[in-house]
Amino acid sequence: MDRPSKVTVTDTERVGTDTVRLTLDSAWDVRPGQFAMVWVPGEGEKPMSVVASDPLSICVRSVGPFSQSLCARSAGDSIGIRGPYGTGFTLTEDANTLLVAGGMGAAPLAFLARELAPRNEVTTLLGARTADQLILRETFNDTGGLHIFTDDGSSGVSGIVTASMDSFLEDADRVYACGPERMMAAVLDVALATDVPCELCVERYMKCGVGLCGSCHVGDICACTEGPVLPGERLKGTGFGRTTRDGAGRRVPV
Amino acid sequence: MANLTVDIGLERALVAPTMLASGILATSAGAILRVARHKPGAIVTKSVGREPNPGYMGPNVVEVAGGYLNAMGLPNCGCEGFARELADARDSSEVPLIASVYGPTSEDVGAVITVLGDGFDAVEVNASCPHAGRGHGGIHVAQDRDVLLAILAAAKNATRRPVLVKLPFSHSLVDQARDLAANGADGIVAINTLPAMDIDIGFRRPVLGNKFGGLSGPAILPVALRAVYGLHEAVDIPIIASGGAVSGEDVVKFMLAGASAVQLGTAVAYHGPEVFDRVHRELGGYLDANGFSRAADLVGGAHG
Repeated sequence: MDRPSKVTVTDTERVGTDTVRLTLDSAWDVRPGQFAMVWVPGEGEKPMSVVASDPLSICVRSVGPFSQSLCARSAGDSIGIRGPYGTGFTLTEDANTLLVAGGMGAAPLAFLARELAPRNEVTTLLGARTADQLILRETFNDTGGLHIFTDDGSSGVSGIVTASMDSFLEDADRVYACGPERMMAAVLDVALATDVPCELCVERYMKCGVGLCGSCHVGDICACTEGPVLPGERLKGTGFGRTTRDGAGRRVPV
Repeated sequence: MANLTVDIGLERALVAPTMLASGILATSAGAILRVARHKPGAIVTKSVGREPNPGYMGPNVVEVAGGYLNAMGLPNCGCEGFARELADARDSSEVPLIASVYGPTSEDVGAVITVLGDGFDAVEVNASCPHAGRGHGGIHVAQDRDVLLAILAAAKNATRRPVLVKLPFSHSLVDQARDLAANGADGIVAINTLPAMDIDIGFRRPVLGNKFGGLSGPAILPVALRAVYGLHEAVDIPIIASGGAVSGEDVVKFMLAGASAVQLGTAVAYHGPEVFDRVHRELGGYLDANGFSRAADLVGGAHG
């Protein structure tokens, strides 16, 4: 049934200046890339990437009233959660995989990195605006090669994560990306040009999570049921990377 | 296979007696096109108002036995933006589009339709959202006879295309439908979701962000069926059924009760827009097995 269950927060960990990882007293059969609808009574309900399945955990960046209230939870507090929803990343074997993570996009990719690492080579390009917004760095360090990029040069290479992607792509059998839409659009362009299979985890306003309300469409794709993980080719001609929608459904530039 | 085509007074006939119900998916051109691939007889859009509206705080939906509760709060991009969505959808789809419009006053409804221009095949006036605030119209509109008839007049004045009115279930339904038919309505859509709520016993709080919402799905089918049966005895304009149909057999029931076409909403949430392919197959199967050459011959067949 698509209805929230009340779960208890068992642990909270600050993983960036404004980002908190919440561990819950729950275990899900969930694949990297799938998401949860997280309910804070009185504050609302939003989609959140799952970071680990057992115990279930999510990462939240404090950007508005809802996420602020979620970040303020302590161990012993309760939240509501329903899911898992949507598609997950395709898991491979014996492949050179390249993960491109921007900002909060690191959350589902950290889950993916741990699933891929036992049977694949994993290289991660991790980017954020500043050093204190880089999250889950240790996970990517543990699962393979890690290359860090920050817009202001406060950690790793100065510049955007996609600027030097070409050289990494030469060795990759498959690319996975999650992050700001402009970053993912740049990954998509390079992957399509070089014929490297790629999967992107897209973000839209998701109000129902069950393919009912239409708010999350990317072109003709219902992102909450056919996505959020989509093969790159599927996004061709959908306006991905150029136009998104606000909470009322108005077209706005990315 | 039997002929599924029905005529409900639009310029084009419907290739099947089915429609996507308002509020499901059709908020944008892309979403409309995704549904259109499965060839419903028509697509009714998300309800559109004068100004952009973000809708209510979540949770916006919760599943219950026999259906869903929803309280979206009429989120939409506003009629200016939606005119472009309709234009884009019409450029790449053959499926007739029915624009659902809402507003608290006749002036608002007329203005929305005028802005949408001629980008639609018909209008469906939403006079029945059970949880819309007064500022958005909804069920309050149907409860006031003068406002309801003024909105109908404004809608008819704003377009030369057919105007359908979507009414809520109530004991005034038949009287409202008679009034509307006598004042030029081109069809009645019935029913909307039923006023409902759910409570989480862990948090001891209402689940929906808006507390109250509307119940849709198979749970309300018998209520909608009874409403349609009563409407068929009262009015001569086309009746479009809405309320929990999920199969070809359900469509047959509604048509026997008097519906010329049947809207699917929760069925799409359960099964995706692909559900139209199956429903049409099941409907065709029933017609063939029972010696009907045309779906239209079912309409009102259960009345003595």
